[in-house]
Amino acid sequence: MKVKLRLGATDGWVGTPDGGSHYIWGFVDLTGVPENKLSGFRGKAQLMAPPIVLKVEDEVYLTLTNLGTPDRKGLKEPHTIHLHGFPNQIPVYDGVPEASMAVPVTRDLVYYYKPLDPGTYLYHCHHKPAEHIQMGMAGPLIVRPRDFDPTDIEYKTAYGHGTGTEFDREYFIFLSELDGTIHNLVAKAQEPDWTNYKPTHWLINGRSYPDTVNTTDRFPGQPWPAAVGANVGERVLLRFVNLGFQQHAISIPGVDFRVVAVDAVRLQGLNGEDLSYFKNIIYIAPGQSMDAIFTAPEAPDLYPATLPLFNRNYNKNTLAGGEMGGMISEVRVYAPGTLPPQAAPSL
Amino acid sequence: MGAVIQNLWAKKGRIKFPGGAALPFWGFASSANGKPQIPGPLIKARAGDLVTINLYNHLKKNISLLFPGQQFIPRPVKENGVFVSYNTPAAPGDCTSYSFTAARPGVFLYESGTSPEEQVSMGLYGALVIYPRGYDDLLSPDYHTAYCGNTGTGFDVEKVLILGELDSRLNMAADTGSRFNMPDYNPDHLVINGRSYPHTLLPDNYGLLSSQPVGSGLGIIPGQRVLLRIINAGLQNHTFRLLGITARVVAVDGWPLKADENSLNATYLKNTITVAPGESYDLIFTVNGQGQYFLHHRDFNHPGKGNRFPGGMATRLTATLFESAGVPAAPLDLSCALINRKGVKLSWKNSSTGEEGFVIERKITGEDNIELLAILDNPGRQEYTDSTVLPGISYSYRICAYNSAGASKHSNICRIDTNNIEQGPEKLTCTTMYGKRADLAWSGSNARGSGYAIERRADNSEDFQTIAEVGPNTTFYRDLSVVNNTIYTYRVKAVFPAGAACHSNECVTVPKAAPLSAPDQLRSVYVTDKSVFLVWDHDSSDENKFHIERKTGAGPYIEIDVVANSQTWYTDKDVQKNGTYYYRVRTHSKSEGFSDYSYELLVNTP
Amino acid sequence: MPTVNLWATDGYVGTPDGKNVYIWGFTDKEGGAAQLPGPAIIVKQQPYLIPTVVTVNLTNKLAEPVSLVFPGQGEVRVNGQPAQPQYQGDKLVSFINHALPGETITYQVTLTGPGTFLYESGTYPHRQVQMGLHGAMIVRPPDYLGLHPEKQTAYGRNTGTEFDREYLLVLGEIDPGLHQSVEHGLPYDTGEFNPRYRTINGKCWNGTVSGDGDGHLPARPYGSMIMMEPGEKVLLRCAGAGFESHPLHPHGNHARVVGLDGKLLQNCGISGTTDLSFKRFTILTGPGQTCDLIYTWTGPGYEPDTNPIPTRLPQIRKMALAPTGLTMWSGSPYLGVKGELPGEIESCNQIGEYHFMLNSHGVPGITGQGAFPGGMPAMIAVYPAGTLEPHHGMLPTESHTP
Ligand SMILES: [Cu+2]
Ligand SMILES: [Cu+2]
Repeated sequence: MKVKLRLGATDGWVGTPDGGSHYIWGFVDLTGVPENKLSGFRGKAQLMAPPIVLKVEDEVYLTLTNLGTPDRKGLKEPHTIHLHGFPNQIPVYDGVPEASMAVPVTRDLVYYYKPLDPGTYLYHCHHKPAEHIQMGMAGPLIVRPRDFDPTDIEYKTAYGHGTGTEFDREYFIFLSELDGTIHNLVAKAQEPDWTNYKPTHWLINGRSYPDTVNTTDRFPGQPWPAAVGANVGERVLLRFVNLGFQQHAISIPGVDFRVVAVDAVRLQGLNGEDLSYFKNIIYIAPGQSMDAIFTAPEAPDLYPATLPLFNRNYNKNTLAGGEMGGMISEVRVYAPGTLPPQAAPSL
Repeated sequence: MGAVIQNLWAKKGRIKFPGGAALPFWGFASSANGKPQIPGPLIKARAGDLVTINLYNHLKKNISLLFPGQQFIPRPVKENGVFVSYNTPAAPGDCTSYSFTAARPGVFLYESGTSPEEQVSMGLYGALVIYPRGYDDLLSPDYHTAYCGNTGTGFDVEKVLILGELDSRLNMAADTGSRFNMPDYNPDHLVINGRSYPHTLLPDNYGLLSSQPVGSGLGIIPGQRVLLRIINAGLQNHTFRLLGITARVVAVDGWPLKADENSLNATYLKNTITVAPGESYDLIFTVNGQGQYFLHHRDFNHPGKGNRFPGGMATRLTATLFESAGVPAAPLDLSCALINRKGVKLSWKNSSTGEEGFVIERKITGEDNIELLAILDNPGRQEYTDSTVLPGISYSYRICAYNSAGASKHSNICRIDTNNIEQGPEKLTCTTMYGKRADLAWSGSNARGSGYAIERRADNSEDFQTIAEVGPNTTFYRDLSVVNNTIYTYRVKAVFPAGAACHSNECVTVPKAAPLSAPDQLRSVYVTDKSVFLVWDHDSSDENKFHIERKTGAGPYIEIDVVANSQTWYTDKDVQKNGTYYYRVRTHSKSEGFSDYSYELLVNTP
Repeated sequence: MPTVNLWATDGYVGTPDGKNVYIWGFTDKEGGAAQLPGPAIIVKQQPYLIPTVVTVNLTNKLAEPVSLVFPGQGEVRVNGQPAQPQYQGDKLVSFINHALPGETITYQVTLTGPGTFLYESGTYPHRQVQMGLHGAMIVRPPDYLGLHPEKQTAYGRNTGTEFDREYLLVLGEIDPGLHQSVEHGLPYDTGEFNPRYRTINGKCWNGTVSGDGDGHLPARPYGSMIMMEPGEKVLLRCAGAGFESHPLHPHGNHARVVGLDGKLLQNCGISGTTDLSFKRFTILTGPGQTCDLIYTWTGPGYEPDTNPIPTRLPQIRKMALAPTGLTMWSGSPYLGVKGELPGEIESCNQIGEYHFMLNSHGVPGITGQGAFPGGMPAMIAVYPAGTLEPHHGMLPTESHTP
């Protein structure tokens, strides 16, 4: 199917529960927005960047429009989209400015790709990538298998019918870090020194705990909570993506993960061996993705039971060194039949 | 199915590190009167057992326990919608109890689930090992296996290594009830089973390490199947190397990589492994040759306190053909004597065979603390000299022999006092001037002695050497035998006819040569469309070289040539018509590095 | 049996920002300066059951003891005796027998089989390994035959590790502050480790995109410009010689990890062979560890006339090009086609080859001295079919056999 998508690159502001606000650069979804309404999206970048959901054999035309940075008017940063992990890409669609071109302010570029393999991918800007990724230009991307059918339990899978990747619900666990000092310097048009990188906030889906579990309030620049909900016995697919600069180790005590895919490749040997494995710590490197499925455990007399989800690098679970915060979220297990079927990932 | 009950008392305590450092910590004791320990008591159970943990809180904060990897649903506590504890806590002075069924074999952590960034760092963690049901039944196929009989996990020797780390600043802050800023976390003590190398080599339950009772030295017989169970209780990744050994990874997080006889074999070989926080790895290997093998941290930027090598997260495996003969016998007849220029010399009779080494303990009369002074990590020793004594103090010494089976009883105690030794030199200062010399000055008098010995230690060499002796009325010495850019540590010792005196303080200095001056007066004396002839001035007398750099237009400077020091000119023949070139020159000597650049010279070719 | 002569000595490497950093390192040329990384030791395993013993003579020209450890190899002997840790007084100095200043020591290393390994100093390694005393060791399978379609393999025939070209990528970091401390004899505190440069084969961008033996970088002999043709299998031998983990992301395709720490990811049993290789788009090489990857890029086969790209490119001169003043792009979306680039743009592109980045996604691993680009990005250059010499990008079959 021909899929037309459009992303805007611009700046914006996000908040952390310690009362901090941080200048970001990021993407905003412009799909279907008429040309004369585009300027209304300037300054509305989102952290994490809008998730993109595709299907195998889609013909994807992804337009990047550089809306500029209204809060730093003098700045004329070009941007790109790097579809991280798409095999057999060609350089003009790969988003590396040193090997093709970048999109200056007010211009467009159409990136084309026809995904052939399902999985959890990621995308990010590749112009001065350390800076642009840290500033927020990064998001997750799902490619559904060709036979994906959310209404048929045998075909609601991550990697296709018969691959052992059936799930009932799916959630992004998109990991990143935020160095408040660097964001501040960029806001003030000063050059950060990257070897002094020292995060102050650790984020899941662009938010720091307890904002991660806040499903009621609206966060305009950070629309994605990270709370995971499921009815008991349901299979939950967590799509882990790490676009920070550090390794992270995510754990949910009480839950055994079955890792079914890493880097959008189902764990399978050359001869078809099933190499999926069980794990209690999801150790994930920057630029990696992992798909892990767990069964919402029974917890009679506790429904809705709350299982903490956290980074076992406990030092990353604070708010700028203060209260509990950072990479913490929770899994809520409900009695059978409580939650209605999920309409879209992470909802 | 059986039942395992473990009582844990959470308490404050102190732990010790090599070099005399000690830190407050929080840990679990296994009895009401017992000392807290790091890591907490090793809990052993069999698959299917009902495990009950009774937690008694003798700390001033709420604490709780988490059991990652178990089928145990925690009951978090929230305030204002925010977690304050990941599981039901015990309030100070209170007790709480957790129970679960040990579902599957493996090596797991139990750890605090309340402010874990602080409490786990402080030491509130331990390991839980679950064995297959028949692991100790000779007739069972599961006998001596980690994950049942069909998983390829049979072993002869088993060792649990719990990796951890401590940031002294966090421990000091938590101990006094203040908050440590976690983003600054940068641990300075890396430990295996709560101890840093070389304490790791001491046997279990070594008396002076009462809160760090578990050693990690391993004695094995070549050919034995060793099951090494590495679990990371720290907050950071640790990369651990088995030097000289290639091991098979048989399980990760307690999940065997070959689950049963019908499942595929996903085990693999590794010699160096990165273990993330909370992860566990089960490794199986054998060694064929006799000898010592180091198991150590490969993150060499963290060798240990003071960041000196060796230290931190390291231990040793010793393969010998015969099993150790049990705990060695105590050394006999310990005697101590003041030895001229050396300090206190201890001598003893070694009455044991099969010891790995000796431990020297020292106590200052009138103080409670017994110091773990030194580990002599080689057998057969009969003497040791303590050169760290101070004057005016009465010391007691005792020693013991140890091997992997345990430590011997202590020897007799010997006492010596340094009271009758005259006050030694003090306020030693050392200064260096440009040009290969160091000047020492100190105060004190040595009227009853024969003079002073000047001692010096260079760079990372271990021992001081006497470089000169001066008379009793002297308080100054100029050392002309230094090499520039070397770190020297000096100390001065008063020398007496009848025995040792004490040392002065130590001072450190780095003699430096006068800095290299930059080449001066860079000029072009001859310019054509084919060549540029450059000249400069320099007063260098050493074996220096000159480095000539050129920049074309707006490009970067590129080094185009290097010439010997006697040559203060250069012809650049690689130029073109109507070119714009910038030149600069600097000089370099092997000992001093580079000088600054000369100023920049612009040359336009015709 | 191969004999390798190494000298431990000092030298300097330049950095992209024009500094010279003092290093210690190995060289295999008597009187030579230190190389970063040390010379690759490439040897061939003897056929089944015949032990392969490599003799390494290490001469120490530094002022402190130096030794060599060979992680992943079998027994190491010194003077006929098993090598052992070395103590001075009561303190460990070296994990293995060392050479004192001015001395030569001979190690006899029994190999365990084919693969990619590290060798590095086992003496004060917190200082000596950071200073540059490390290198890679490649062991070829006994049936290795260069340019033979089935026998040019990483781990032997029928192991699924055939390759067409191979590159060695030794990953590391340089903390110039620590190097300066050693150079000037100042206290060396690794707790303050703050690497300002992340390196591949001792080089930062854009030294990483030069080929082997680049004249400007004499101290660093191995290139990390990966050159290949579409469909070829490129073996990337990654060795983590530094203190950090490096998550390398090859653009353009996943890579298949076939070996870890020099061991083939395969198990043989009664029921047959179990393949444990896995594909990744980001490969994390931990410190002290190695990783063998096979990378291919086939491409969608776009041709200007028969199979044009499905979008219209904007006017190139209106786009942002060459952000650092230089581009690897030809100006055309097509492989083997040189397009029009605005005149002021300096392009390094030769014949319309494609360039894909191979970059670290880790802690500012793609910056050097705090700014992008620098540090770790390297390039994979895909040349049109039939334009590269078949032996291009091949390491010698054996490096130190007379
Ligand atoms: Cu951007
Ligand atoms: Cu990427």
